[in-house]
Amino acid sequence: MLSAKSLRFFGFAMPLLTAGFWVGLIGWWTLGFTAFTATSHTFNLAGPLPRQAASLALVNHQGHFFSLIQPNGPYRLVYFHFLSCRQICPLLHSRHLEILRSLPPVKQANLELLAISVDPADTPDKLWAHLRHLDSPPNLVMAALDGPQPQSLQALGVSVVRKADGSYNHPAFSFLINPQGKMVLVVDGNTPPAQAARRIEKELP
Amino acid sequence: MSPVQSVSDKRFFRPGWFWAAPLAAVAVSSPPLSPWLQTTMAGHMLVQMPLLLLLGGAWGGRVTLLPAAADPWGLTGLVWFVGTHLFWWIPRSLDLATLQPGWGALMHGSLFAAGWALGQSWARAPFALQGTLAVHLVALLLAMGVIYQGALFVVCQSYPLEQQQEMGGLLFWGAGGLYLLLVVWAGIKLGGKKIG
Repeated sequence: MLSAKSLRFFGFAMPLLTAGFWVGLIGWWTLGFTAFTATSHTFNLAGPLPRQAASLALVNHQGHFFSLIQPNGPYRLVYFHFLSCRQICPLLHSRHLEILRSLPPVKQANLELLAISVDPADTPDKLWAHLRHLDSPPNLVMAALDGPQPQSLQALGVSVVRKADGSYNHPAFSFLINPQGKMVLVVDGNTPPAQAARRIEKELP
Repeated sequence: MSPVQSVSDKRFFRPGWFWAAPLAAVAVSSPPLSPWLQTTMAGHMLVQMPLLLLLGGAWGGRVTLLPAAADPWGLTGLVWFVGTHLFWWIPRSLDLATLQPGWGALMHGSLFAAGWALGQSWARAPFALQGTLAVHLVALLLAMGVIYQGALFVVCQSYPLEQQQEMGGLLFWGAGGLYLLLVVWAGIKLGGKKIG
């Protein structure tokens, strides 16, 4: 049996230890209280910017296979979508076209807009058909993942979740990757297109 | 002291709940009820999670772990409850619990345990502590309501944006209702007594 003094100490120490446990656990879980959503956690875990971007094996709307990181390739503004998405993705397409059009023509020529579908059902044929509906410039490339690449996506800082209804959740960010394969800028989906374009313009040669 | 005993908090003693509460918690956490509740964000966060806490709370008056002498104000149980509650309200935690069965089971079990901790600590806690905890909960619900309703992006990846916004509205108005109830409860508890 514990003495009255021990019980009193116990009554004092236990709440403190319990609070310490939860603060420590939640702090670790959220990367030091900085990442509370799956999206921000995956993004922060990938490391600070600029960082070497993980490569993805892709196939474009013409059926050509290529890699996200290509030596001496163009600057790429990458965003994620899927064709059956009726909510956010159509807005993402128009947003990125607006960003591109807000850039000076010289800068536009140095940038490739790369829309990567996260849905395996989006074949090159479907991407091509969709691209024809968009009033798109020649430097817009639609691509699909060449097979499941969850680890590469995670290393890139992109969290993709397939929901119970078969649709997908993915970040609405724009990732700017330079010809050396470094991710140099990430713009979140709430930034007005003109403001996003100004930030991107500063990074382009 | 036996771990199973009637505690001094007689108001929370419910002999029938000894078996009924855990069995009901298992039913709420298993198919077909659990997947059905989790089809909507509101069903998950406003029905399933509080139900598990309530069932744990009902059990909490029957099975006690810490003797009153070791936890006179019920602080340990209250802190445990707050910690568990906060952890599962983190969007990333909720996503994992929705998408992965193992995490889901962990969430259900820990919420029942948190309710249990609350059940046996609430009556021991002085009025000021009870009031602080209640205000903390209302503030948390209100803040989450504002975030979910106002965010133009998906905070919880497991649920679509429209469900998130609907959930935000329910939380916001629910927190307002809880605040009114809190004022009434405090009025009744104090019975017109002057504090301080």
